[in-house]
Amino acid sequence: MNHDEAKALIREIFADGDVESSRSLELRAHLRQCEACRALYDRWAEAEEVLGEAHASSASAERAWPSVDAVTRPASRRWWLGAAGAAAAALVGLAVWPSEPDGPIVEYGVEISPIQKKFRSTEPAEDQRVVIGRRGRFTLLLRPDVPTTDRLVAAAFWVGEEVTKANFTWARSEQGSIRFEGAAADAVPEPGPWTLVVFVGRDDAEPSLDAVRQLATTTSSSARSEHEFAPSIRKDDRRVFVIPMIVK
Amino acid sequence: MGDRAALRKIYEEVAPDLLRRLRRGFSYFNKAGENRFVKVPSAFDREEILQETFRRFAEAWDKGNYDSARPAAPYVMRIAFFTTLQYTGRQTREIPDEDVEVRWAEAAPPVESAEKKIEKEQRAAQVRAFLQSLGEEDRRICQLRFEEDLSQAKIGQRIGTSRDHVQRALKRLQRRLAEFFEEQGWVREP
Repeated sequence: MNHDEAKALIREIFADGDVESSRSLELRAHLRQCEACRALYDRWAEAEEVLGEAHASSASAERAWPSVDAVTRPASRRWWLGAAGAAAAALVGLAVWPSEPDGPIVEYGVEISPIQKKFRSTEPAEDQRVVIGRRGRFTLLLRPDVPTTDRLVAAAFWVGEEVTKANFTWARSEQGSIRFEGAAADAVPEPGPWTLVVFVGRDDAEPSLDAVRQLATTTSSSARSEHEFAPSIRKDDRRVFVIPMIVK
Repeated sequence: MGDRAALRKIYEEVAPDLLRRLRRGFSYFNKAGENRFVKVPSAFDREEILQETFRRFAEAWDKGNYDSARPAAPYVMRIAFFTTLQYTGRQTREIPDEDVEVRWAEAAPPVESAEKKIEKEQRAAQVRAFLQSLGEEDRRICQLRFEEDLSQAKIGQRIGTSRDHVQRALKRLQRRLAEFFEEQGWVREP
């Protein structure tokens, strides 16, 4: 959503009130990134307050409902169907250790809650990316900041408009981290900078294609050390690890 | 998650009150025993906190940590308190223990400056003048909706008309109000 679309939608929400849930969610995602539009949204809300505190609060609650509805319902969309998805699902839960990986083993970052960080779309520097080869496999250790029994349910490579499913296996260590074994071949059509998006959630937590794109474009990428990259964020019922990579 | 209809009902009952409280603010004692006051002036931020609060509430319900036989409002307010501290970037030492007492402000927050106070009074006068320029029925509908926060059905009962009629009138009035706000320059892009 661009700036002009957001401005028009803000006006529509306050003047009309009847806005499709999906557009409302899109607007909220934009407002999280755009300070100017957020300030405009607050001005409309402030103008509304002159009509009365009770009304302003009710109207605000009504505006927020689509996003509350979205984050409180179990995930139901299934874009992950298909042979690759089924195969990956069949492997979930098995502690499968392939032969020695020839890619890097990287200990991954700590989860940070989205309400503790404001996310900006910044392009990570080259030295902040995990370098992997197109052939062979790579291993990541994903560490949620609290122990979780959630499963690794999906992963995708993303760059620009292209999102492709990643083939992977995973297992849980005794320390609670998740060992993710993946391969770029078959998933990444050409070398270059790619982002790997890994979803950890419950059995039925399946991300939508739009969610992958949105998360991949809105994540922060502050690196604290050579082995820590973009922090994972929590979206709906899932923890999401977003890992900038270079595929050589 | 439990029952979606039940969640929606709780949301309708609790959310407006929660938003009002966040706007007014609350006080508590942090771990060091210092008294702190927090309010959330931005409507967008309040709605973000509301979203996260209900996400956590739904999760607690799903996991069986919330018993639906208990009143939901105090439970949700408790979650909102801790969510607000985290959202507003409090350091760990500032976040008190679970059993902290929270005092929610009773009244609307005082206006920050004399200039803001004058602006607020002027706006109130301008809105009153605008409402006076409406027809009698529209004026009555506005009063019942904005001052008494009645539902469309209840407004219809009070003035002796159908809910649909009230709904159409409110839509029309909402658009006129938006134009009014724009004419006054209150919603200009910053």
